Amino acid sequence: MGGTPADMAIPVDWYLYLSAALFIVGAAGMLIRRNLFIVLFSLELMLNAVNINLVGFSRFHENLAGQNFVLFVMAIAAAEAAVGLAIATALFRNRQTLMVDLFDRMKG
Amino acid sequence: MQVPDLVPVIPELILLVAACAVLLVEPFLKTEGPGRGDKTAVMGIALAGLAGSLVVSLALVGQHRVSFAGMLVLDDWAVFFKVLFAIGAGLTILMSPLYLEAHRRHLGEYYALILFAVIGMDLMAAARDFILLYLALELMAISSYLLAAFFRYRARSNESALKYFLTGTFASAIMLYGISLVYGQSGATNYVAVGQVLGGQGGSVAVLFAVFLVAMGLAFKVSAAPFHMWTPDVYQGAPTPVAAFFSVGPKAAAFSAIMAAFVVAFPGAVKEWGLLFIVLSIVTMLVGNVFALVQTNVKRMLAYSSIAHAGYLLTGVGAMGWAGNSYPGQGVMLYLAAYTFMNLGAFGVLAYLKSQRPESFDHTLKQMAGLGRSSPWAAVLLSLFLLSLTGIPGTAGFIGKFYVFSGVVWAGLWWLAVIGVLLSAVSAYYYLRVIIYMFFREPEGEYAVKHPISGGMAGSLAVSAIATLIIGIVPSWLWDAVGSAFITLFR
Repeated sequence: MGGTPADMAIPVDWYLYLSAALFIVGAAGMLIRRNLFIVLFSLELMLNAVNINLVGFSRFHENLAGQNFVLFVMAIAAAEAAVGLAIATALFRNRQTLMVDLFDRMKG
Repeated sequence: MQVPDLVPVIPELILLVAACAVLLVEPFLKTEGPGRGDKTAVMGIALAGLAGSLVVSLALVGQHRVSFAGMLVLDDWAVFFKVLFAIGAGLTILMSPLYLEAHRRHLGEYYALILFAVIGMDLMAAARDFILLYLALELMAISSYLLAAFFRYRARSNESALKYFLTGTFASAIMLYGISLVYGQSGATNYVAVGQVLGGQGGSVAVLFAVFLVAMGLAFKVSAAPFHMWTPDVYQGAPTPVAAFFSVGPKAAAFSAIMAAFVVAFPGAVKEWGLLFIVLSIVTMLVGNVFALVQTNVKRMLAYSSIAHAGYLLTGVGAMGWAGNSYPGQGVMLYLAAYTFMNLGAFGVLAYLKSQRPESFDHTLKQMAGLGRSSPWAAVLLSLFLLSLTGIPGTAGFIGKFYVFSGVVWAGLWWLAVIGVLLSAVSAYYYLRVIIYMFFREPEGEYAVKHPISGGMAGSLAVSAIATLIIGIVPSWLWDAVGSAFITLFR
């Protein structure tokens, strides 16, 4: 990521750093946190980190493919959240808890 | 505005119409209590949709059409996978009613979800753009999460869905991050355009990192070790026909996406991704086979066996990249076709047994004892599928392994083929153990089946068994079809 377009006030590297930091926070949250809702938030963080990347690169390359992509990612993220919450509802009805580490009936 | 060429997506449009028709017709059907009732109508619509998609796909053989601004193509490569997915989903649907009826969860959405998943799988094979790849993968994955959770009153089905959802979304987020980096490097999302930009600067660290992330995301989907942890739990907890579908459909779709994306978009880094998949394949074969040895639950054993088979398939993918040769890739395609029939059949017999005693049968080895006497047909069919999974000559499994491993040897990686053959010899232990239990052990409790195999289940198992034998005995037609389909990838 060497040069930047002249009218790009913030260099593209900065978008990359922000996005990488957000992505790592999200990934760590998905792996470490126990509450299913926090895990779902972390998933959204990961997807939005990708969105920042895509928008930054879209500006850098001066083409719109990246921004188009972001719209699709947002739609998919909404669909994923809907399914995730539906699974959470079903889980809570059966077990009265949403701590993901308690769902360990199958092992080996 | 220019109207895109819709001919390449006619098979998917047919499936879409069928899925919507299933959802619209289902509320008007009579029910006999919750989750029960005659669902022949929706099943018929779903099967008709799959048959239509299959016939149209076959009618489109030999065409080469690029549509939607280069986002997807229709060539023999895509047609091969469309036909394979339609057959796999059709066999799954045929074996489902008996199982769902026994568990009082026979609902029309089930068929619609399978059709939506098939649309996603079809588009994954046809995609030539990372945006479409991601969308198709998520269409397949979201339908799969819901299918895993289909028995929502059962704690195990919920747990299975949760694990599938969390690992699946995590993997696709990682793949997406990789795709964003690919876009950053190349300024394009189209495979061909990415390949042209990145082809020259193949080995740079940033490109390799992006390729690695995309590979990791797709390796999750094919359940390659060390990204396989979800597979046994998901397969064990999900309804058995759904587990059967997961083990063949999404896996084959992910392999088609891996081969198309990596061959076309990352030609500059073939050595590197070839090596990555070779390493993954060795770890996957080891983990799958070793853990399968210690399982006492047959369904869970089949889950580990599907990990092992992903390992055999990955040797072909890796060798294809490492040697830059299409021969191992053709072997992978043939193996996927063989694997679809034999694995669906094996899971199908388990689904039949479970549907006979939905409360007491738990897929354990002990409960398989004496099956050879109480239900000789089920025992014989399961033995055939297990022998095929082992790779006994005369069955589809042998032909699949033969072509993949000979492709690997052709690529100069004879040591990798030796590892694969040795580990598939190990696999004979856990497959044959089931057969020994079925025919040579006295049953400890009363696990006799209530009804003989009949109806859709019989049709599904018969088709799987006949296809397993036909591919095993006369494979040349399939090899020719695979060969002519594979070269279209390089046009």
